[in-house]
Amino acid sequence: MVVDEQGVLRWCRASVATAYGVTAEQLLGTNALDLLHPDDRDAALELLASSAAGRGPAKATVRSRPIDGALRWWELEVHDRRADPTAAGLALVVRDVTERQRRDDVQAILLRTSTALLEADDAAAVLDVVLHAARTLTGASAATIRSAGDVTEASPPNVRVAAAAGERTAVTMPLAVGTEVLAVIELEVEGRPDRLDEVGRGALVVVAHQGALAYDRTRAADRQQAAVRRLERLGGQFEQLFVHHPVPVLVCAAADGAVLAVNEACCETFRHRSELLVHRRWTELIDPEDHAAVRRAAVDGEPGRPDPNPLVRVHRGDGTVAVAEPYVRRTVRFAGQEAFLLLLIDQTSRVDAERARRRLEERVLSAADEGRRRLAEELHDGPVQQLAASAMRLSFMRRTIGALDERDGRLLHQLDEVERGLQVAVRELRATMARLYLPALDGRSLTDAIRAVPLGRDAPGPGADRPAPALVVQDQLGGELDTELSAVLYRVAAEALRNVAKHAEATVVTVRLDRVGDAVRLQVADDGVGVAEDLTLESVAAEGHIGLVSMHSRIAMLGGTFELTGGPAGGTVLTVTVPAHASGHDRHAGATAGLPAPAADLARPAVTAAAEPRAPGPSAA
Amino acid sequence: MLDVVSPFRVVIADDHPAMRLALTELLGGHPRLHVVGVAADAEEAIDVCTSHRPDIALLDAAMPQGGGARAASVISERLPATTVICLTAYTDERTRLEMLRSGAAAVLHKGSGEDIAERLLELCATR
Repeated sequence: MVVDEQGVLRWCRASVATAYGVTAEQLLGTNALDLLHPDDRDAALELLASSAAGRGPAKATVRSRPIDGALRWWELEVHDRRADPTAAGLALVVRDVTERQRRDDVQAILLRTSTALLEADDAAAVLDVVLHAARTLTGASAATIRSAGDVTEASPPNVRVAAAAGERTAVTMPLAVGTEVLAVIELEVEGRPDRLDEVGRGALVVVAHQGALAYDRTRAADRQQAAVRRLERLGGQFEQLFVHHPVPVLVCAAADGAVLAVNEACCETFRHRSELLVHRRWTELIDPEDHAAVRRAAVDGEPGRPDPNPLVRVHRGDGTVAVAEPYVRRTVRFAGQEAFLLLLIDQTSRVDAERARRRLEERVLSAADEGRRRLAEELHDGPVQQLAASAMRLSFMRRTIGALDERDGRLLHQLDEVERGLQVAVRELRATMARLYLPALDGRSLTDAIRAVPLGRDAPGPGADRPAPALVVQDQLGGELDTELSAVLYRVAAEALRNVAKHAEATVVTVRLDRVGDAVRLQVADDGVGVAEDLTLESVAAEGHIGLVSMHSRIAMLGGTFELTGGPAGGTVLTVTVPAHASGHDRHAGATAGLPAPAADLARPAVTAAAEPRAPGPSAA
Repeated sequence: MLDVVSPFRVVIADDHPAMRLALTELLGGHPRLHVVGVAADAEEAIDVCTSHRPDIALLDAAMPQGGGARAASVISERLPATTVICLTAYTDERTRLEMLRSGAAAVLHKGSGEDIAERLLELCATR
């Protein structure tokens, strides 16, 4: 365009006129500034003046008058061409930067909206922010908010743009978390649907999503506030116990077990949103196999008891499972109805840590076993063979010399001694090998395997000439044990027998296997020198006897007990007791299985609770 | 007095060189034993025995390629006339039973001080 200092058009390209739906001739003589948004006229005029004053080319971004119902953004550049006879005026170069400008605009709107949503602290404020952003983005002339209850659409919630009657566009913006629609904003925009470009639609989707999350947050906060207010009416002590109690607490209706309220710790620990927990039943939160344990906790459980309640599995909101120790406390009325408190002390990390420790112990023990096995193999393949071969040669020499000259007693004596030394060395090494590595049960029964444990002495020194103790095995189990338990008991018995052979100076050692209640008991009793009175695991470990310590670990892993005492008539008695069904893998997960079927539901009406003294509920308290 | 009985033919199988050499020399020097083959693992023991058809196969219990037990069961099945005898450094009952089940006529212990040659002759005499 070529204009004078006031902006009056002297010449223009046909495309400029076409955009406004007129011909170039019709535009000539009008003011080019009339093509601009009224608010930007002054800026454009200033640009012309600046160029006319000879301050060189000047640039500015201005808005057009609506073209086809929409503003366009123009970058204006003015060049002084008054001295040029072909132009004889100010050349106004127009570049359409609407797209670029709109992206910048939209980003600015989104940023402002995000900030405003963060600050909005109730649902109404959130809707206000979303509405404002939507109107700015679309230039909507009218907007309405519908609550979620009015929404009937079955299709997935998403922003929809549709042509309404005439030159109007209807925009539907549902605020939804997942598939749950919280509210719907409907906008009416003048103009055709294509007026809302991709950038604008994308921005609307973002605003709707952010708005929904903020709305959800404030709604949850509203509910928490309401819960706190309800609790406040119950008195300060209960509030202290419940809302800010570090232990997760559920308040459940005595009538049907419905969760009436949960505290912050409960939501955090079990990763649930409070509004999703409320009105579900406590039985949905706890693994069905563990309901009986919770009911038992209801009967017996009081925090601080010496024996903790059996652990129960709690389904977390994110689909994982936590382990908790349940306690039930009878309480007063809550929100107008009878209710009890279900406390769930989170023991997940403790159980995880214990499992990790057990896995580590198992690894250490199996690594130790593997090490012993390798050492035994190396001994067998190396020094034992070499020594045995030499002993064999020496035997031959001795026999040969003896046959040649029976009178040379001194030489024969020396050879005898060397040969004996070699034989002792081989025997010792063999015994060491046997002690280092015992083959597994390998299909033998536990008692057969125990009977096969070598009891010969392998070390020279005091007592080396004493015969090996006699072994008596008494099997009073009355049935087979599971393989894993048998293997552990076998290793413990073998270790104990080796200790007896090495240290006890016993003549008889008795291994007894029997049952005590649900447990299996292994006793290894000898008539030897006995143990020092101040013997402890630590002192034993410090002396390097890892066998006893490893035995103790194996038993502890299975939840058993381990006791080393003096016998009634001297000697030593090792008593080990292990639960008959201990698997060593997941004692805690299985701890609550197999409980008797629930006899009484926690959530029974108060009247019934009164008739049944062991059931919880305020009237039974 | 010259022994007119022809010597027993022996195959020795042991993976340890010192043991192989000692056995070869000691048994080979005995007037009534003749070492016809030496093997270092179970597979070789089977091959050597199959081709030499010895009177006695003296097998180590713990050898590569399947151990003495495998060699013993194959040899005792293929060569019923061969007496299979196990020589081992392991003294446990399991090894002993395993070797006997695999066809060994006896299990001798390495370095026990007994005269291996005499024991072999005794065992052959009782068969």
